[in-house]
Amino acid sequence: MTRTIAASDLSRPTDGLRGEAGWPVRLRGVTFGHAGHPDLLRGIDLTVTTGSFNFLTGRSGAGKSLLIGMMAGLVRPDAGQVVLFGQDRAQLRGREARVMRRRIGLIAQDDPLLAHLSVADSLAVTLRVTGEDPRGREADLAAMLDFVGLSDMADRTAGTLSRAERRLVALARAMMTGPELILADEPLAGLDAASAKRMLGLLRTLNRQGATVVMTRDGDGPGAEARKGDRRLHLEAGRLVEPERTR
Amino acid sequence: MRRPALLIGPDLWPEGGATRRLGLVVLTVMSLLTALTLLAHVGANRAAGDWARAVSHEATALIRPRADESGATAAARGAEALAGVRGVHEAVALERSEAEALLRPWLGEADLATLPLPQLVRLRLDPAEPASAVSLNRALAEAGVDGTVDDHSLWREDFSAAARGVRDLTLLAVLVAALLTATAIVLSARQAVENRAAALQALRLAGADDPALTFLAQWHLGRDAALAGAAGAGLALLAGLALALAPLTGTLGRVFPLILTDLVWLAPWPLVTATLAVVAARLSIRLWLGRQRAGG
Repeated sequence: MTRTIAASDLSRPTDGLRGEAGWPVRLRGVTFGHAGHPDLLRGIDLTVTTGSFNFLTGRSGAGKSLLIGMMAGLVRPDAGQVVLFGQDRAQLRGREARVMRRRIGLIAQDDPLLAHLSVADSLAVTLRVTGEDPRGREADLAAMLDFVGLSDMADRTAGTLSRAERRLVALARAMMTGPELILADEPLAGLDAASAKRMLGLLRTLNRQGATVVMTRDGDGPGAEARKGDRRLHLEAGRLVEPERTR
Repeated sequence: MRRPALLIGPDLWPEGGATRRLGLVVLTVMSLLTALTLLAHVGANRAAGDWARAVSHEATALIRPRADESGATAAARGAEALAGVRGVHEAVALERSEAEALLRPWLGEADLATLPLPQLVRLRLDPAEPASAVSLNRALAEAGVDGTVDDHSLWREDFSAAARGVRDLTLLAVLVAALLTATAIVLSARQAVENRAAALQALRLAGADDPALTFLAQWHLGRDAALAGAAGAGLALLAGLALALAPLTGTLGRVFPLILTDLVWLAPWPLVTATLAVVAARLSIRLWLGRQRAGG
């Protein structure tokens, strides 16, 4: 069964467990390493609460993308547990895993798009690969493109877009399944000031509408982008430290 | 429930350009070679069986006429004596022209009419219980015919071993060709997945799970292998048809005596290549996904 969404109705927390047990992300003792860097992540414990806006910072190579990948279920930790919406990610299989994936919108760093597809088809891909027929969802596609301000580019080939436009398409694509948790890996990297402001504004809008947002930022802190109430998480030497909330 | 129709559109699996076309050509050629060696084995198997049967079911008697009789008369007496032996189906005295025809391959354009040719009796033996050379010679002696039966049993085993050798060699050729084709399929599947890593990563980030990506790779690589397998088997079919429909037109037709129903052996080949490719695609994509899950 398809679920119709509209731009004004994005990312509302829907079904699933409420309260502590159903928090979007809980990491317990997550550890990860490889030959070149055996202690990349060391016993990470983290709870991301529903509706929060989280900045995950750290220097380049600190493991931010890795942690985002784990939250999305794309990377398996060496040890520890990744619990998404109250369910152990490692235990999810088949349909359950697909349903879980649809609750998560992922914008990867330098998010690759299939260069030969049009912008509209790029959005439809998310529906197709998660088992939903995009036919009959044209209104949703249009709403997403309108939301990110790319309505007039629906027929443009993805390979001809600028970096900022590609990033916006990736955001729109991530929103196609109406996710409750948005994971954005360096969404502002490489964007000019105006594009970065626009992207951040869209993420804020989604957060106001109820989506939980985790976004990474290279460096020691979120800088001027942080607002009162945002949560700051900092990765350093494989550990997660949490400075005081932004005041 | 998963809906494969949503995944199998060509747009989600980049075409691959020249690399894919080259892979298809290589796989087609490998399939052709494997199919040809298979037909050669089937033909050699039949030829070896025919030769072995002919050797064990036939014999020749050389008759020497007495001073007071003609060669033809002596041969007729010899044929009559041999026909009564148990284990002989038929004994026929050869006409001079037939004897000349037998010698022509050995003596070439020599003037055979001037040569004193031996009188020959051709014997067709009972396949189940062929008469022995001893009993045939005894029958000639008892009938007062001076003659000698060529004892095929002296070299029948060597001949059968040679026939088995030809059969085994062609079977070995089939196995080697099939192994090389399987290797080509596995390597090209692995290469195809690696060449499409960026697209696969894009789909993965868009929400495609492991079974979806596995299905996608299996579908496209399996289909390509089936096409190449069908093309190779089709070309071999044409060659097989030429041999089966005109078997006596050349040496190949005699060495590999194919009949039309032999060509049925080629029918499963596209299915075999497709199945191999599906398995290879599954393993290749699992390896790739394993690296991704491990943060590679």
